[in-house]
Amino acid sequence: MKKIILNTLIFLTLGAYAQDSLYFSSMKNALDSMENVKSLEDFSNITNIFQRIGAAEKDKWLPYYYTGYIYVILGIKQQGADNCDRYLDIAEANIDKAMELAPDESELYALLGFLYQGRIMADPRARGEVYSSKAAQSLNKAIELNENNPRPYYLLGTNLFYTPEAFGGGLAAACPLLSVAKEKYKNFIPADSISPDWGEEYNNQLLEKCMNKD
Amino acid sequence: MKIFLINIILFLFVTGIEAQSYISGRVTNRKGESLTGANIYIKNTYEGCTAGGEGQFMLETRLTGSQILVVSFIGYINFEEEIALDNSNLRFDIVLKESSNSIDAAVINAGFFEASDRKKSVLLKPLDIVTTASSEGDIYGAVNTLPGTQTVGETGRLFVRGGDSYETKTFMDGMLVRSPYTSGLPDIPVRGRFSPFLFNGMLFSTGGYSAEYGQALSSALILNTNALPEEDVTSISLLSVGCGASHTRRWDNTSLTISSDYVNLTPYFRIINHNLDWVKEPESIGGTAVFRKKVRKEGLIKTFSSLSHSSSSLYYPDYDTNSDDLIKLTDNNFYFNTTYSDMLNDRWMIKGGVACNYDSENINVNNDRINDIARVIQSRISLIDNMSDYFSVKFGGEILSIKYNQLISEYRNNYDIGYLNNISSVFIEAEIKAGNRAAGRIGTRAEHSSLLKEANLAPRLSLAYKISKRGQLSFAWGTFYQSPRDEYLKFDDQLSSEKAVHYILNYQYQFENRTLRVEAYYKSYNKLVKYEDTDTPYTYGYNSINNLGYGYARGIDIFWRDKKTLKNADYWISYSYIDTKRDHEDFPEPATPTFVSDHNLSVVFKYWISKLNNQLSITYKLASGRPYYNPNNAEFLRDRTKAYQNLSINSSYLTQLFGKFTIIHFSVNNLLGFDNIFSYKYSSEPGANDIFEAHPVKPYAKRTFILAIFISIK
Repeated sequence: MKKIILNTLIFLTLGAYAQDSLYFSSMKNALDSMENVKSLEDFSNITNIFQRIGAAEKDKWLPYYYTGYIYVILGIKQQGADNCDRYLDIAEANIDKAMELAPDESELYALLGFLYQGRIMADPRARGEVYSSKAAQSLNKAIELNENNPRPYYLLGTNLFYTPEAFGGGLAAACPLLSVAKEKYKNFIPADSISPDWGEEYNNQLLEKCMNKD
Repeated sequence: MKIFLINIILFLFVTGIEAQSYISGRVTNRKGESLTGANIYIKNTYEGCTAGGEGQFMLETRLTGSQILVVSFIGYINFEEEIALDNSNLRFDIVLKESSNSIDAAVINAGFFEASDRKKSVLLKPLDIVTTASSEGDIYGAVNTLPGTQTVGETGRLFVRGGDSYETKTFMDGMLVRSPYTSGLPDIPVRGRFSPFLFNGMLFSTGGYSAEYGQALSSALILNTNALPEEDVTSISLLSVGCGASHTRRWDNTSLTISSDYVNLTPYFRIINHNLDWVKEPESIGGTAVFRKKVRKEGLIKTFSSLSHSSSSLYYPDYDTNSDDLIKLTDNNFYFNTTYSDMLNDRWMIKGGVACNYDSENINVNNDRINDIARVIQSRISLIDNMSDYFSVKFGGEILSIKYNQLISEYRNNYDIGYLNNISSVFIEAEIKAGNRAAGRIGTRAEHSSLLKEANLAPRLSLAYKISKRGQLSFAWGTFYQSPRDEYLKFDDQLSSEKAVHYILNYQYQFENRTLRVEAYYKSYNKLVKYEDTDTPYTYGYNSINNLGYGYARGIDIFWRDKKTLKNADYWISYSYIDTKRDHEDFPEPATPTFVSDHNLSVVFKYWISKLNNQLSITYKLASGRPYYNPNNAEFLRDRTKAYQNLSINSSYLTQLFGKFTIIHFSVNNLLGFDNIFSYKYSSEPGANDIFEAHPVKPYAKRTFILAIFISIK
């Protein structure tokens, strides 16, 4: 017991840790509270926290990443292209900002791909062609930057899952990708507890549908 | 160790009794509405809170000293104020100002329809153009379903608000396209030269357009080409009238697209019933090259070039000699433009470009030959200073050089008539936003013509005011000049520019994917070209030609679009009423020109059948009768044709061929076979009983159809 206390204390005394731990714990708190979000108000509470952290920490991309992520999720849930775009535009601005800070981050390209998929959902007929290649390009770039990142595989898979067969989608095309994603999720260890780590649950749900189909 | 622990405890203790300040208040907008979700925080710290349901907030902080309080909310400008924290209890009622680029902001929109992939509050998307039945994949065909346009079926050109087709100009990336239509034989409709797939945005102005553009009395069709394509792609198109192929190669910051197409109407005219006496059915071959290069962070170089050759010939009825004329047409066209746009810094933006157009149209009528050659070179540059979210200024200049020659061989005589006109223009325009309720654009354009030896000043104004969350009232006013047409300028350089003044009042109501737009306008024409009625063979000038013509057009355009009410369906209804008269050319008195129908109605309906991956589109058009000249009637242009009706359908089926994404289009024009008459032509000499014999001008076929298959290989 004593040893643990000692270790902790030594750790505490490390230089710049004070501010970093504040960053870390604030991020962690915000991420934890994301799990019991019920209303739009709860969402704005969390994005506000990320916004404050982002404004105070000039070199951290994660606050913008998560703001973007939340707005992509909100955007996808909206009805009508204009309403979707209202949220996705905010998401895109945040992803852009994050990319300035971390230009070669695989997770950001994955999220951008997710956002483009949201644009397609808002108006599939008008945007399908342009944005599906944009999404695919972004997700492939995410794989190129970190082939162990499961999210681009998961997103490519989900997209095909909901694309009609006539456009090259369907279960047959989607399931192999979702399986790859499952493997990648299994082996994926996030850098720390505030780094992106989402999608596995839904990936498994879709894979189950793949299994049932067979 | 113990000491260390004590220190920690002490530290915690000290912070525990540190000063605690409270900041509370309410966040609202200028209308007094609560801004729930606003972010209230101390700058550069993590301390903050979110405004609740009534916009109220309570921020507790242990920070001391001088700090900056920030309140931010999406769509609003950040509020910042320095505060002193020292056990204080502060109260702030904060009113945030709307940022001018918020979604509900007023948008300048009087007089134009915009199609764009990304911009908000536009009425059309580029894809809408291709999927509109009756357009047959032609940009101009689709624009013709919008209010303010006239149905003039035998030409295929755009006629806007009482203006002749020459009064509408087409611009590509800001550069003039002098010959935007394919070249055509009389009474056979022409099409746009460029594929709608080249463009990702379109602005169709029916009047009152920006000072950035000039030399169009009625209307400007402003097309923006695609930026860098996303990836390599090869596409193949197979049509009932020809075929085409294109290949796009994308590198990191560069792309190149090469395409070519071949059209031959011989098989088509062999199958359908038509009333034309072809010697050689239209045949054309063309190629385009599109180059894109991204430079620096925001800069983009766009280059477009196209080359085409077409030919056709037919016997055209001559009602005087009763022996048909043999008309042969060949056309060679080259168009090139390159533009550059870039951000110089956070504030300044530069746009510039050069364009050239060479068009040689050769018409043989029996043994006579007329060769029209137009060479156009244009260069322009503009700078935009975005001083703030509320104020920006755009200014620039251009030089447009038009050299036109007509070579005529008639019997043994050869003539070469033509002109060279250098038009230099400068413009300046300021855009002002007052909050997000009002927006204005004011500018002026000065033009000088070397040929006409005159300078004109064309002021423009456009205002928008949001009268409610969904409704907006707009007004536009402007003066427009255009050099007279080639057929007059080639003979006479004593003429001056024709002039039009537009007044436009617009009301637009938008809610949940439904749009109602009502626009009333008045347009006056002055200095129109006028001459005395004589037989003027094409080698001589006109009798007492002058600029004393005048006229007016007034009317109302109504547009309703609804993407919401019917599931998987989208429809729009355009209705235009116009009252116009002019006294120009050889008119003996003011009269409504032959291209005008008082009432025009278009109903466009699109339905997506997801089970079949098919989009079905139906267009119905109704236009009241057009005036035509009847020499048997002493009153000038008093006769009217019967009303025009057309029902067209178009089916786009999305599928896969050989594992490649494929679209199969099928369209039928005039499905119900309405018997339409565009106008009448008369023999020049009276027949029996001193009556001139009438010959109706009809579409060349009752129904026309197109089958097209587009395959893209990625």
